[in-house]
Amino acid sequence: MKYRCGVCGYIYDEEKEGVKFADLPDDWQCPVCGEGKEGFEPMEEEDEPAPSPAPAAAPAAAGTTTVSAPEISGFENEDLRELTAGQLSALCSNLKRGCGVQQLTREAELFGQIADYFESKTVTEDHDGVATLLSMINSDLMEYGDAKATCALMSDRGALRVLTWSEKATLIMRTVLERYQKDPSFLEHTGVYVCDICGFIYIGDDPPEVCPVCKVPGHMILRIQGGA
Amino acid sequence: MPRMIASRNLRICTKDCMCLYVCPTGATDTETGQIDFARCVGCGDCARSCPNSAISMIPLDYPHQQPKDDKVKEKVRAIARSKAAQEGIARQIAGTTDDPNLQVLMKAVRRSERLMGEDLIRETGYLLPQSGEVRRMLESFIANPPKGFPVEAAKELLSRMRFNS
Repeated sequence: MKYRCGVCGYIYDEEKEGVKFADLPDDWQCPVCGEGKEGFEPMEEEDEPAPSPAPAAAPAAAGTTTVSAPEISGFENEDLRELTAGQLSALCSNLKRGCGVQQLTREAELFGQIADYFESKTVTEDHDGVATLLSMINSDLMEYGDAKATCALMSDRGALRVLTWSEKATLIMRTVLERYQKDPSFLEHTGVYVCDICGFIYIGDDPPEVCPVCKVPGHMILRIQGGA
Repeated sequence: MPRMIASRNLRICTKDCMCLYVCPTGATDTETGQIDFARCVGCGDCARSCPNSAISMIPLDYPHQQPKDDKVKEKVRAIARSKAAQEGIARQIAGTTDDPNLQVLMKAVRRSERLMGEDLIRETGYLLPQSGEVRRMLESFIANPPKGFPVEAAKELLSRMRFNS
């Protein structure tokens, strides 16, 4: 019998492991994403495609954002006016990456300067550390179902793709932060990695060979170093 | 002006040198390891002859992007906005905590939030650096720059990029 992690898709194969899933200790966790036993589902005989994670809850009311970040300025361009400094920074740092893959070195550098400028203009509101992050993550997770349905309705596979990946990476981030809250020592003597493509966070000694979220080769999953 | 130019992936290239044999202009033989883009005529012979497929052709002109529905934009941006706010909080925690484990974790969260935010926001009409949306964005920055904005960077981008509209 095989069991699949509902968050990252990792498969626990009883035959290979030599231990029945039911006999694993209650505090056993997914070796890839840290999800608990309860997040696993028994697999039907050789069912192939990994199911997307269950939507966290019913879609919440439209337009609810947890933190209202201030607007950067009154740009004439209507499309930009609603974006926060943090969003504009991400937009420009992504264009930097886009120029990088096209070998447009100078252009990448220039978009990087603009991204850095907008990052310096971000304003962080009052927060209560990891607890605030977790509550924002939980409200994000309530938005994905509705957003994905809208993309499917409009046949926008690109937007559906990014929502699917970021929902999975967000679920895994939530598991990691909840684990940290319960027992901060779980981060000692181990590595912290982030997939440089989709943002999947991995806690462990060696990252997986393939990213469980976006399927990029493991050499793109980078170790995060400590220090300033 | 070529439509495409050759680019070498240095992670794959094992210096078999077939590209040097076939290149009509010597653009593939450089001390940096990368192809001399200014001399490449875009014939593609190096890419086709490389035994490791280490060379690919980079287009210089790009088609128009798929238009984005307003409702999709709104939903995706709402999530991207939250990611950007979380990135800021993680950055602040990483910068102030005394706990080295929490610091590394928050650096990871900050990076992850940025990557998710980038990917989300680019799906709202800003996928391609050469698109009309990006051109209009840069023009808007220059027309009404916020205080301290690097206007020269935006101007240089407007003059260098080969926009498709």
